[in-house]
Amino acid sequence: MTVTESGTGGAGGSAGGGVPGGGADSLDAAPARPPRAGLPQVARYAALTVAAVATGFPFYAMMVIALKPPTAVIELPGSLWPWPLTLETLETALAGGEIARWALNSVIYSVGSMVIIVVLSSLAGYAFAKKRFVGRDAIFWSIIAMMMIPYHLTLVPLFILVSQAGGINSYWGLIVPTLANVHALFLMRQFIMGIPDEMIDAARVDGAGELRIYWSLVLPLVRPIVATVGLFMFLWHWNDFLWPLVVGQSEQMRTLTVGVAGLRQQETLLPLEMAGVALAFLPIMAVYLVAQRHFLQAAMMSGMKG
Amino acid sequence: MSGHTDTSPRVDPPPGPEPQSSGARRAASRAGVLLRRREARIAYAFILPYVTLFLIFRVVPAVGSVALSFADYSLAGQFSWVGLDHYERLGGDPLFVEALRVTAVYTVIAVPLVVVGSLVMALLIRRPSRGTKVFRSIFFLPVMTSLVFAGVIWRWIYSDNGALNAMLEGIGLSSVPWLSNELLVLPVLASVATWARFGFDMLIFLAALMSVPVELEEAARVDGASWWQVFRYVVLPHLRPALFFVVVIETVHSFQVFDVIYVMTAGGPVRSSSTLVFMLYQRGFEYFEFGYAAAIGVVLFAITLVVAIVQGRFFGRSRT
Amino acid sequence: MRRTTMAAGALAMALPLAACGSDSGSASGDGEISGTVTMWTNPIYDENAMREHYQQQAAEFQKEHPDVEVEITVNPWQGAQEQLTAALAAGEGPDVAYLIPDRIPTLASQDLLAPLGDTLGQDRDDFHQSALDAVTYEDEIYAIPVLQSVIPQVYDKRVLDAAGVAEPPTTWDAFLDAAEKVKQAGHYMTEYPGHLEMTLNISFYPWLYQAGGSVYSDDGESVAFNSPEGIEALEYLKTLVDEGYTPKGAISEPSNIEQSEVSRGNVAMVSAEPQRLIELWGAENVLIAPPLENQEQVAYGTVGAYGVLGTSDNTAAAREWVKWISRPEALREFDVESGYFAPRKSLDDLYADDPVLGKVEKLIPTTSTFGPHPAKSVEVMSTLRVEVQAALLGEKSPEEALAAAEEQANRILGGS
Repeated sequence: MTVTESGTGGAGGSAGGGVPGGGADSLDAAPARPPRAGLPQVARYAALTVAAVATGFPFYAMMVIALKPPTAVIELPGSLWPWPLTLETLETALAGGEIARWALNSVIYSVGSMVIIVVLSSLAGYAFAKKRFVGRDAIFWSIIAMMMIPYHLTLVPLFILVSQAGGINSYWGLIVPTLANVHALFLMRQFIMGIPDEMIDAARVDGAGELRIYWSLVLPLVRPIVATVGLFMFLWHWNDFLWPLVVGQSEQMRTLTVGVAGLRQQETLLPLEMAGVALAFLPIMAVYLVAQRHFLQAAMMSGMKG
Repeated sequence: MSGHTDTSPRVDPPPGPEPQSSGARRAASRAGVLLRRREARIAYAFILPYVTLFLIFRVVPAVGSVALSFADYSLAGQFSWVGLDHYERLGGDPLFVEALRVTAVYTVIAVPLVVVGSLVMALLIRRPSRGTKVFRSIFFLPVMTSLVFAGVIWRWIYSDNGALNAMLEGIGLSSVPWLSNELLVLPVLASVATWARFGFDMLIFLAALMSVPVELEEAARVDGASWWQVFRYVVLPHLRPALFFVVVIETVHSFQVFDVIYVMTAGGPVRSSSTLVFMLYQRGFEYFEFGYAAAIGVVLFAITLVVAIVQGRFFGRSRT
Repeated sequence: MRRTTMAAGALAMALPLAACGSDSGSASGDGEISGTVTMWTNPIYDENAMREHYQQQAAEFQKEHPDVEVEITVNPWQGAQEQLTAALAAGEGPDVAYLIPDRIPTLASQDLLAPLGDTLGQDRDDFHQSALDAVTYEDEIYAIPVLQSVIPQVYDKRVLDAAGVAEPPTTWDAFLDAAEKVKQAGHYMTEYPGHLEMTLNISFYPWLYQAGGSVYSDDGESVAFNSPEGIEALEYLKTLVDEGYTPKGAISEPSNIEQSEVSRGNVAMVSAEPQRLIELWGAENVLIAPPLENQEQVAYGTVGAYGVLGTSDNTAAAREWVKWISRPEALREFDVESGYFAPRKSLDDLYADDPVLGKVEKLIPTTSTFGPHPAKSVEVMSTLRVEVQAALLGEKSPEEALAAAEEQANRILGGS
């Protein structure tokens, strides 16, 4: 059911890097490092290092400042030295916060949404990519077009709709309206289009049912994108702030992002503010460190080799 | 598309003639008709759950918003149709024209920045070699947070007394008024948005790069092709669906840029970063002019749609 | 229960036409109130301490009104606007909400706040007039103040000493003289906060009013800031910027005291609540001065208030509850906890024992909330704020800026 399981299933089939029946796949062996013509390695590493420093610096600054005393005056560059450090600010920020409850809500919201979105969007994406039916392109492009409506425009009408259906302060009211995710559908369809028709036809000739083709052929073939979509949907929901805030009116319904935002008083000192940001970020970072092998490996190593 | 049997993902142009990709070679025999009907039924079943949810939770609110753009509405419940009044007002509103200009300039800066940036990063780390895992993880960090929160850090970095200016002064340069200069503010905001989003795009490109046959690249190199030729003629064709996706998504995102502005500049200095969605937000949530806000949103939607269709045409036509 | 039939159609569902809630409680025949009162507030001070305060109040309230339940939610500041707007549109808003003055005219003009003048009754005499001005719209009171701030001129004694300025200046001219000395000593005289999210109440309006100007005409039908006084105020500020008496960055950057020049002991005077400055500079270096005087002597003080929303289905109980939490007994604890001052004259000695805050408290009579404001005051302020910023950044002359702002503002006030 979960992405993880379907991923594992696929992994079994493609353990040797073998995408079932891939066309020209004598190159299944994990790609050996190809010789790099052109860009010399030094330049490559220099570019990567510059980009990594620019990308990582805000996180470094956030963590270091969050680990300063709550009332520390931020001076540069002195405040960026990683000493002295204290957990005092994090503890202050945490005090009284119902982190466990918030985290549970976040998990329910993000994992629940992620799983269903992956299933719905891959089913629909497969149909849009590989099936012929009247109105296929009209429907698909209409859906994509709706992505171009600004979120703030539909927020209020959407909330009214959900409230009329009794969805306020409920998990379903939180999750269900986010399930028809356009990004996910778009990505799934784009990548499923890359599967050769012949493979699907062949499976059909072999007598495989439609669901079976979807489950045992299509999904494993697009594993990288299933993993990618799943990861993005998880992160997007985890970091979502406005919708959980608006739908979860009661304090019991708060997600981590909403709860942490509530810790900020009218005026908050920079270390405390950074501590709040860090508190919302650290759990996801932990999940990522544990799961990255799976997610990114899946994204990097298999499928889509044709 | 005919004869296009290689395995690379394909993109068809947005609204086009009925596709007949693999169908042409199947004669329209009676069995074929039946098969096709069955195929359509199955397809409808596959898209049904998604489309149903989409209709209820996306289309209905959107239709409501469009209707709102033809009406005056107050939160207390007064509602009256005003026809095209809001649209006429938009035409004569210098703030709207300015917001339109700001949004366009922002998009022109931000989209190439993030698309090229993420593509270059993806190309640089696609092959496993020493350290790529670490780089990949670092590049992915911003995707894990939200600008609503991370904006605080960037505000501090770009402020007059912030980290960046301290660094510049440290190496003997003078500090730069990043957020107070009308010409600098949009590039600065675009850089922050790029930071937040390139990891996402990079991963899309990485997944797409998996479809590039390694031996084809090697063969091209053996034949003496330059890295640019390899990229242009071997790699790029395989990236087209991903590139199309990323360009469209980033364009849409730039047209709708809000968070980074809300957190960092509140539309300033003066009005130089007041984009359409920021204006929409002000009109709707601060001034409670929902009808007018809706009209802004509808116009923005129309513009985005036209641009996306042009992009679709471009990607469709230049397909190899 | 309040579900409309699907037959009402997709359009009707999507349009914000949600019915108001059903009556879940109200005053019964003998005037005894019942039902549930929901209250939304924001972390004015520590979220948990605040919740505890109100739960305590609710418990006492229930002893008097056993049929009323009170539910308190402390929401984040962030997104509060979207949250309340969406809730109101859907008829799912609270009965009582915490309001800042800027929001009151917008809400009141759209019938989204219930009038509270009668609820307050004679008790209004105990409130500072400036506090009442902040919650008044078209001669009616729409929220009951629970806190008041005073934003005095706070001087950093170290900077004044370094510059050889013996006493904090009291007039605009003396302020400029001092500014030059402070500049010679390598510091800034002040830090003018011009960022677009900063309310003009703290930045431009005090100078405007000190110059003898005002934002609106007496009838509130048009703006009055494009006046000789307004131009004088803006030119004065422009001088502060051009002469380097105030850091340029602060004109367009989000202000954040602890990462600014202020925290480094580089600024002589800040218009700010002194509590944080005591932390940053040490109490011995904090000098509280009365507001500067040009034509008038006036400083800004903000107000926090609770209002009963027009969409409430239980206004009778909600009014009683708001009255309850703004009693002197309740405010004494609340205001000291939050570090603000009380809007009530009877509580004017909350900080009598505090050497710094006690001094600030004495300044309450010189504070103004620059109210009452007309319905579109938020939009007028946004417009003026942008033009003031343009003038200070040197993109327009003060005259041009105020004229442009006046033209737009009067269109806003007059039109649609």
